[in-house]
Amino acid sequence: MKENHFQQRLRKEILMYSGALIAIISFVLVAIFIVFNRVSIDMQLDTTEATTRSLVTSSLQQYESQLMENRESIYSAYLEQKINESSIYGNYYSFNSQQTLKGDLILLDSSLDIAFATNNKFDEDGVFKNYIQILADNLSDETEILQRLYMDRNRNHNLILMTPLDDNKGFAAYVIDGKEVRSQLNKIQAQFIISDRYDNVFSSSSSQFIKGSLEKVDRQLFDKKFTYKDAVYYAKRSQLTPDLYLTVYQQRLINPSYVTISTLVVLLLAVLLVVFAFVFSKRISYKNARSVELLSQEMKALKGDATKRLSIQTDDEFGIITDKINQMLEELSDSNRQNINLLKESMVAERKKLEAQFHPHFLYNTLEVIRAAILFDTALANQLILRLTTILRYSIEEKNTEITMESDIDYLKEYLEISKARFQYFNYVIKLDEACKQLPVPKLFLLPLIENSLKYGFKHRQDLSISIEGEQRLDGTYVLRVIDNGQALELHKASQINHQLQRNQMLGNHHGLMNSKRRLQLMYPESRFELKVDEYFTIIEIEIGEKTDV
Amino acid sequence: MYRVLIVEDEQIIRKGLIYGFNYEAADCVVVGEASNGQEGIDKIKELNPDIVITDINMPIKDAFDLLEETLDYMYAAIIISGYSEFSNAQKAIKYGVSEFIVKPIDMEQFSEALERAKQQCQMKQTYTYDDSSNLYGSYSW
Repeated sequence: MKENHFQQRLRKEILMYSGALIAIISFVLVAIFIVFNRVSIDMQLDTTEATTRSLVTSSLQQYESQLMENRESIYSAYLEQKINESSIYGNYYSFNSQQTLKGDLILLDSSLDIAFATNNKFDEDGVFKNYIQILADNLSDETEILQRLYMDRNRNHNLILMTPLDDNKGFAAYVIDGKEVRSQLNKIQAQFIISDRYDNVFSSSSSQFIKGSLEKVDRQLFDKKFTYKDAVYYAKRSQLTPDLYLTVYQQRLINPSYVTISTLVVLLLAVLLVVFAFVFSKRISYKNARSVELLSQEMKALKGDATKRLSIQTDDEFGIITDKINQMLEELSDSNRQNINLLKESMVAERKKLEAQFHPHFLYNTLEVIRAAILFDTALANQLILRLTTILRYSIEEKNTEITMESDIDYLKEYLEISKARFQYFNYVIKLDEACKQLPVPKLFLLPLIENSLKYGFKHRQDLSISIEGEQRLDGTYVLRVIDNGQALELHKASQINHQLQRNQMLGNHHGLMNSKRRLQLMYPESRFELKVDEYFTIIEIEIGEKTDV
Repeated sequence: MYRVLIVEDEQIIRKGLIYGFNYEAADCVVVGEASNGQEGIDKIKELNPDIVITDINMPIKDAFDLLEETLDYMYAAIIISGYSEFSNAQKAIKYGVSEFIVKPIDMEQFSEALERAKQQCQMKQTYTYDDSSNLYGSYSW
């Protein structure tokens, strides 16, 4: 159906744009969600990493510089017994009081026995002693500082910073407990693990991800993103010092169930929007298409009825269109009325113009005849003046618009009588039946035919004769004939003129014939004119009226 | 006396032309009349008039046929027409006719036209006679 195309197209378009909008909204929501998640986790990881790094690296640097500073001075001096214990203590406490991470100082003599320790727990720990001796063996004379991790009997994790003293005097070491780091970083709730390359742990925010009797990091677990006990974690690993690595991690802020719920909500929203768009598009398209359909129906009803107007009354654009169309129709019918009036006026004007075509040649010649007659036949002059006046008055007067054949022929006789006086061998006959005499005719419509007969007929003979005949046929039509014996037209010329006459084409010099026809057809549109010739006569045959049953 | 021929198909007008003007006083005499172009041609050939006064529209032959067929005859023509139509005047001039009068006729104009026709006639005859003896011709008034 043609009417529904508009509706369907409208609906399709609304649905299409709605769908696109819903897709965009859903996409944006999901994107925001993911990006927010990712960015917030990254930020948190970065913060934790930066805090831990600054705490640990700065502390270790201070410890290392302390070791380097003192190893040739007071540590060596102590081992050489040049200074007493209290000097070392003084130095140690003044340094340690400034540290965020507290540590213990140990000095080993050349035989690798503990010569000095700020904490006596080391003396009792045989394993520690063994371990530190192994470390000492591995240390060269170079002025390097070794970093090693050590877990004691109480499962405390410690970092040992150890350096040899010159001339094999012994070793100096600081031992920092991992708890120190944890207690500092727990304040900011950082989640971290500090470990060495062998996954031994120095310090960690919790015992999560640490396994085995050696309490090593469960490295296999760690990845940039991993799942542990139904929780999703993000992690980041970086190097703190040549020996130590920092791993920070963060559980995903958003619970997986939240993700599911959020997704469901977005989906539900999307579905609702789709349903809404579906219903909405249907309603809009229906409503609009309805208006269009209504308009087109009413437009159809307008056809053929000029007085009908559209009756749609809405306050939307269709209402405005209706008003405009009605306005237009009003203007159209106005101009139509004007056109009809103009046409009527032009018909009247044409009739008058045709009636006025009284050949001036006739007038001048008649006047000359009168002028001449005055000289020797005043009675004739008198008669001619009266006849001429009668026919002139008749043709000029406006009032005689509805006349019968009989009265019109009377005036035509005046013209013929004048002609008879002018041309001594001219003659005419008029033969009308009673019905024909009563036939209403346009004024002097036969005159152009008579004028033609005189004009062309006299070219060949002086004894011209014109016959005007009229009768009603049995079928009710009238037939009029104007016949002359002028033999002015050859057969082929006559048929050519007749051909043009039937087509209402301009007839060259034969204005009279056309003039007569148009005058009659203004009154009888169905009337027929025909020009015939035979050996002796030129005949104009005119048929008037509808055929009626006899 | 100039010899005048009148060619007019309408009897009354023809009579008016013949009897409505004092030709004698104008040193003219009407030597003949014709009621159509053909008759006119015959009369010209028969009478050899000095002046021909002719209507334009006539039965059998019109004024232009008449002029065409009598080109060898030395006469001055006056044309009388029902209405002043420029094409008719042009055609008439082609045949050397300069006198053109419209109906109804003003007799004063007719008289003047006749006078000019007489002069033209005199001129033509002088030229023709001299032409026969003298190649260059000479005008004598």
